[in-house]
Amino acid sequence: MSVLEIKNLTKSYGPIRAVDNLNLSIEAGQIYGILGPNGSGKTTTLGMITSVLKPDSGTYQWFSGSESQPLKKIGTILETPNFFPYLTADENLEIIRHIKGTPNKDFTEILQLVNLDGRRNSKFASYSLGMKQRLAIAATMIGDPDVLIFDEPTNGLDPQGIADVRNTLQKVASSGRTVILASHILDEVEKICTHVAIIKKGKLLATGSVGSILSNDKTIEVASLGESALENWLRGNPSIQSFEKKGFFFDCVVAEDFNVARMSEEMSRAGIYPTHLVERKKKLEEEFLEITSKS
Amino acid sequence: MLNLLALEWKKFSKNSVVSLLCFFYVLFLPAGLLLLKDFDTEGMPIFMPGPQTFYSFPGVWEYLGYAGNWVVFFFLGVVAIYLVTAEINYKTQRQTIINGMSRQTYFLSKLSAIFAISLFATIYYAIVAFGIGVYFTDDWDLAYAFENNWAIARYFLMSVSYLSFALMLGFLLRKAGLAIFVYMSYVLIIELLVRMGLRWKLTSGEVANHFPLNAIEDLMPMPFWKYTEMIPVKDIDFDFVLTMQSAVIISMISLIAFIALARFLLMKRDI
Repeated sequence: MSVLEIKNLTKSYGPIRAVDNLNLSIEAGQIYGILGPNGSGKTTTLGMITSVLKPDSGTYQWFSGSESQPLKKIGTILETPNFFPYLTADENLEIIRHIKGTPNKDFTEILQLVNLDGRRNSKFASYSLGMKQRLAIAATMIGDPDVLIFDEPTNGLDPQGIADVRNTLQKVASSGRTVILASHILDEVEKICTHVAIIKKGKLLATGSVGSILSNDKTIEVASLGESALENWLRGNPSIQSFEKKGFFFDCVVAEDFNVARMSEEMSRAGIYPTHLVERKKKLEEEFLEITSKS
Repeated sequence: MLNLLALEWKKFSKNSVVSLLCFFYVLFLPAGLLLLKDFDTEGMPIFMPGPQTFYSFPGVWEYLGYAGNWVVFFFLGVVAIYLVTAEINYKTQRQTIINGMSRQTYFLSKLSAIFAISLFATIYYAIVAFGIGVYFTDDWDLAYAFENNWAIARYFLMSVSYLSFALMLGFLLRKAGLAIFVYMSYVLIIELLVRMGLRWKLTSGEVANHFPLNAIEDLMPMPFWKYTEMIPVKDIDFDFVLTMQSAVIISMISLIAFIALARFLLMKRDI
């Protein structure tokens, strides 16, 4: 079932085109990452699909048009946690419940999820940035929405705050809901998302499942004491498609049927003994940089 | 509508700025009039009224209404600006739309809030005026006390008109400080200067009286103006205040224009 269909969405700020003919389709149950560098149009896109920004052209449709007030079925954090500073967590959540028109007035469960139950009667103004962000995540859960939208949820947080928010997001993502996560922190997206869209300067560069975005190139990191001998051996080996010196090791893109066991065996036969030998898949970060640098 | 009012209540009933401004209204409305208790008419023209006129029926409706003219403008007008700009500042206006409330409904919630505040202001005015009148009028009955009861309706129209002007400025300028500055300066200085300029340039001063905020002010005019007719000044060839009918009509047109403009700004702009 289609949760969100975006067609040719465009938005400019003066001469700058923030979003340029964007097309996206998000299905139910997907954990959808919207990736892009700062200023790529992620927040503008989310602003338009949550009705706070007016598109110049293009359309979007939630739930195939089956809901008259679709945003009441969606929990969203856009940029910053937005609450009344002089009200407590409970009072702020009550306002959101009132707007959404949901019956459950007990916020204990969702406050426990974000570990804020103990501070529920403190004023929002007294919260740390991490606590504010966690309260914003709790607020998205009001009314048990089908879809959650998080825009840069770990922005500005300290390492502990990032870890807390990430743990919470992972719990949320595993709940079966559709999640749309905009971020420029690729590690975050790679850990949580099933699908990604990569945008730059408002244009969609790539979209699909995380697996399909990541290439099948296999990489092996290798180092040995005799560096020049190793370099010569790598150059002469037909299974090594390309290699590059990175710090103390060589980063090698290898053939599909090649692996560390074969490499170790062949190196030993050539009298080269590895001091570092690690096989890994290409990271999303590398793919992202490759895709965005091409455009 | 009650549902929207309940939401506004949840948002602002614990806000110290709103509470303080409402408290000032409650305090200064009767205080503004009662401070004239020792008003000395000695040396004044013989027709000048004294405290007995200010406090007894039917004068109390007009004199307290004029005090209300100032306190509604100062305190409750700022409340109306604050209801809009605080939410823009906290980005809770944005979050309310994100959470699924339509812009139209959001606008209605703000509109219902200023109507409710105006109603509260008017009821309080009526109670205070009635109380002072009962206390200071020697022989009174209900018919006599409410002889000038259109004052209550005019007071409500004045309140809601001031507040809708403030609401519109809140949506237009978005920043509390700037909106309050423009609100105060427009009413106290800018419109006055434009009107003075018109009087100076035009042979008739009639046009100058028909400005929106002047009309709203003239719904509860300074009661002393009526005595100026008794002063023979040849150079003044215009009325100081509008007729009540004109004031009501211009205020109603202005009220509708302010509300329409405020709604237009909210519906059309990015938030």
